[in-house]
Amino acid sequence: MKLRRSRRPIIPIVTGIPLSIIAIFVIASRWIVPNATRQDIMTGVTSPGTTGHLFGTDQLGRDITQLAIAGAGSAVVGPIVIALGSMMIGILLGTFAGYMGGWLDLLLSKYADLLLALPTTLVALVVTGLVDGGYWVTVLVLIMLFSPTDIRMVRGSVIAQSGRPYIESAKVLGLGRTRIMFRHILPNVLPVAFSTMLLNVAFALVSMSALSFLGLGVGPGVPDWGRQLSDSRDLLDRNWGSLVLPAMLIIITAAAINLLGDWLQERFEERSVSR
Amino acid sequence: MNRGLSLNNLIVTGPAGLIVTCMDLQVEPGQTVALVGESGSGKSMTAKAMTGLLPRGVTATGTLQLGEVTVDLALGPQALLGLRGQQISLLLQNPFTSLSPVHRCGEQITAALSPELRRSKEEIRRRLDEVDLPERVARQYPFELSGGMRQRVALAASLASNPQILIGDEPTTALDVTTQREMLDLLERIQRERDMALLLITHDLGVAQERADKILVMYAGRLVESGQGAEVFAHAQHPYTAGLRDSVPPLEHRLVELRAIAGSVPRPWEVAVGCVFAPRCDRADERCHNEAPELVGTASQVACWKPITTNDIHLPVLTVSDVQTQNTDNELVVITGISKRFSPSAPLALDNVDISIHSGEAVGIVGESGSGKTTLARCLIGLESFDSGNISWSINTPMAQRAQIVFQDPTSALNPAMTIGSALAEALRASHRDKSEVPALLQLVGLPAEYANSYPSGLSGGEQQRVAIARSIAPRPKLLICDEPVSSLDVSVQAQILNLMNSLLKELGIALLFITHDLAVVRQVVSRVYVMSNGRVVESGTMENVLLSPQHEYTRQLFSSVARK
Amino acid sequence: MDTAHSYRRLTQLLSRGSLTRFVIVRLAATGLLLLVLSFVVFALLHLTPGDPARNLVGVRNVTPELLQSIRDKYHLNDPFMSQYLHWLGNVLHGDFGESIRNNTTVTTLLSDRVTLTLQLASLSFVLTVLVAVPLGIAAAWRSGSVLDRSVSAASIVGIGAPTYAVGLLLLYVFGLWLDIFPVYGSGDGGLDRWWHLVLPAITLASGLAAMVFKLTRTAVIAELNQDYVAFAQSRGLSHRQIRSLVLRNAMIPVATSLGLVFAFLFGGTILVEVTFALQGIGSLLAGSVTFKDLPVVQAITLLTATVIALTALTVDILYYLVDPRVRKRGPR
Repeated sequence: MKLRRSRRPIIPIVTGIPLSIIAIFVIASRWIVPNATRQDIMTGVTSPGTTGHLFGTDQLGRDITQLAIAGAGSAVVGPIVIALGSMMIGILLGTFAGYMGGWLDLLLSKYADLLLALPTTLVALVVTGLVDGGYWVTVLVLIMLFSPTDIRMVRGSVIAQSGRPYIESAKVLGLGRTRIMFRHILPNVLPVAFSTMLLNVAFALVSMSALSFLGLGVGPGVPDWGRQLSDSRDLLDRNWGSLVLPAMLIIITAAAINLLGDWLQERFEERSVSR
Repeated sequence: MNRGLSLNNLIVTGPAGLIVTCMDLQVEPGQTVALVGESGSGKSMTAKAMTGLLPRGVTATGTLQLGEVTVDLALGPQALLGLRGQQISLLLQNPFTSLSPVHRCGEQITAALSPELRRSKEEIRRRLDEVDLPERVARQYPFELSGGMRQRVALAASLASNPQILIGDEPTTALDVTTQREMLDLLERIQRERDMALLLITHDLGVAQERADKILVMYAGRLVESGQGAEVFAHAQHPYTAGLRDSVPPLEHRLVELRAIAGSVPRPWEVAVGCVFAPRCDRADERCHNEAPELVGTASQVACWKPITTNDIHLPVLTVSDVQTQNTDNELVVITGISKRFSPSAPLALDNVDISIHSGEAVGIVGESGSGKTTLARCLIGLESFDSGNISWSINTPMAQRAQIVFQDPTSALNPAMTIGSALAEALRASHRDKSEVPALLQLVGLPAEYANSYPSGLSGGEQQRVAIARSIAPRPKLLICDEPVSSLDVSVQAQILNLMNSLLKELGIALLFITHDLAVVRQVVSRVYVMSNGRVVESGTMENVLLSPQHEYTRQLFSSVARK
Repeated sequence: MDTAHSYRRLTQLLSRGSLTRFVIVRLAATGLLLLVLSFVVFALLHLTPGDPARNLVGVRNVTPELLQSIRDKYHLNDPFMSQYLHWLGNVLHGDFGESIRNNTTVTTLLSDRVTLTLQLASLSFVLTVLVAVPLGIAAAWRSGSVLDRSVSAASIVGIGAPTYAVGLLLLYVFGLWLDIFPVYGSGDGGLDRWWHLVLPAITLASGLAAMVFKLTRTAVIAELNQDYVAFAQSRGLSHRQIRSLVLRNAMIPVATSLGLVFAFLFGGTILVEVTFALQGIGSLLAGSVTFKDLPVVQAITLLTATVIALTALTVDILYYLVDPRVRKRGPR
């Protein structure tokens, strides 16, 4: 018996507010804080609450708040590209591997096994560190690291769908493979893929900023939350704002995306159960 | 001392509204009471309310009298502590999930006993012996046992604290027909030996009629009729009870048409005012739609403004002879010597099977789960490969226009992301026909043309199955394969679908391969039948001949277990 | 006679579903995985941009003699496969070559630092298990309660929060502001060492605990919704009995998830060690990557993979012993 409970969408509202503010920062930071990276050696480090500097300044006299607003772009854009790219690979290869099986399937699952045998952080660190890449090389490396789990996820749900009677009916009707794959299987995999992608954005955000914390990824001087955090280690005793603001921004953004992704995933699962 | 059970004024409320309304029932020691209803009637919720197992968000009010103790159900499961197991116990439907998979059977049976008894080998042996199980079962895990044996273990476990009342919630539904009967016999014997009150919750009218002293009929969360044993159906007063009775296909003869009840069972909370059955009742008048009838009567009770009386005219039941095949020697498809094994270590799934189907002929395959009947169908339609043997078709059209298939579960047979209209249009296009035929196709299966715009999730199970049938006849196949097409449907809806299939066969002149475990169902549709067991065809012939003089031991066993449940 | 007997004994041991066969099959798979990984790790040297010999010279003065001696030492003029086999042979003898940065053998360098990382990892693992598993069980049991909702919310923040950000915040609050814990460094050994490791371990455990909490909660809730729980209640089993029934069943997925957590544990140590300036394997890796100290990078990558693979193997064997279904039917 179905027992449906009415629920107010509290999660999208709670997470929507911080996420839209971040989105505004990403899109409009060049107009909101055009001088974020302007250095002022004379000022040097100041503590939070200094006139004109809500969260103080760093060694170079840059305003922490302005720098954090300007850093939203590099913190969020890369992860979105990573999640999108890796899911595109996941959908393309996962669908083929799941529906066709055979050597492609075997190869892909072995590739995934190999990558999952090591911590993502370690592989990302070693590969990006050794190839000396910049921001976009890091993005590319992380796409390669994220895609195996996406391929697996898509492959798993494609296999789950392919065994269902409606797919068998489509086969019996004599529909072609591509039509079954894209018209029948994919629409039923996409909702799960979408929520996984959201969760991946959060994961990629943390990974990217971890790499820039370790001095990889973004170039020096580019505003970035991870780099701000890394810099703040030397300022802890003089300006706690340099730590708290970027740290909170990363934590809140990641948590909001995770909450939203979790909520979506639950909704989709509920729907597929009640069907 | 009163040792029975008495439930008074039970009301179960869920998040969406009322699930069970004003339910009263009594069971005496040694008595078997059957609570009968279709899915969504609230019969399982009644059992859960009595054992304090309601899901979260569902609450109950009312009083439950267990022997000398009176329990206020509004107090929740706490009120039943110390009574569950000792006074009242529940046996669930699915023996595959009701036992813990990682604990040994012996442990699970005696878990409710005192610590000393729990370890006593003697006690475990005695308990296993009562349910006709050998001693070795104590050391085995549930997954090592067959479904019937697991249900015996579950029964032994539910009886561990010697309850005076046992509720069986569809205790035999998940079992095969032959096992079902053994289980019911065992229940009856134990009940007699222990002088226990038994409340049997079932959707199977046959089981209720054969086994119960008293039958209660539920519909949409309400009790609509109750009475002594088989009398309830023989002299049904409520139109729903009568409709339910007439929906059940008889094994004895073939009907021209089953008397189905139109529409489908509503959700209890969707019923606003008036009699819950009024929207589907052909006797309903103004009052039925506006005022809810009370349950009245003494020996037998009925909740109806216009009950059926002996004065009412009984429509004669039209039966037809089974032999009505226009047997042309025109064979559509001949299967010769098909064998299949799923893995080298597994037994043969199909063992040298020969089957032929003539054009326009309706053929049945009967067998229990694991008999190979579904594998055969899947080989025939090309969803499964076979190791040896041959399938030869007398026609040369593309495969899609030779045969189509209808599956058991209509919900998963339709793509949830596609509207009914586009699913049917796709099926038409696949055989180069125009999508303008969609409305005609829907009409053919008895659905309004507006349904083309709905998604499968908006349809009831019966309606979904109609759509699945429409899709499979869209390419105009010469053969329609139906694999247990009515097994997951309610009795009243099952009758509608069987009628629909019979009329489609007549109208389209196509051949039918009907696969089922249910002899009475297949009797209403086919003229010739194959009986399968362990991957082999053990018997075949016209429906009438096989029924009248079953040759094979397995067939006889199958019949006797259906004939008396 | 004897050979026939031992043959029979052997086939018995290797029969479907036997523990020996299970272990042998899984060991072989693990070995194969590590072999492939070792190849990839070796290839890193050649995938890194630039001349491998020059990369191995590092910051020393490049003289033709030095380049030649390095080429000889690492067999860089040999065919690729024979280089690999040479390297692999050395690795199996515990020889990863010499560090470019520190002029010592990689093995010495690692053995100086491995203790700290193991201490950090084990402390965080114990913390994680002690906190997250009981909380997960309690939250599942009272799902929807204040406890469940608050811990669940915290776990979502914990899963999303980057280790280094949490670490720095803890460092600031407890190290600088409240001045309870030491700020940097690994301490002088003994108790002082553990004292220095408290904050880093809490940092590392916060993310892991969130993950383990979520997995435990999901596993226990899934079990609580099973028919056998309702059936046990209807038979009047005590609360304690039902709990042990559920936990025994939930233990299987929880143990599996604890094994998976290991991989994250070793990824996390890198960031935590860098954050707290601890002289462990993780900070060594981070430093070696920036300095292109390839022998060290290769060694650490391969060792981490080995530890994780062996953990996975152990979990599989535990799984086999705990779940009678796997035991009787053999590995899937």
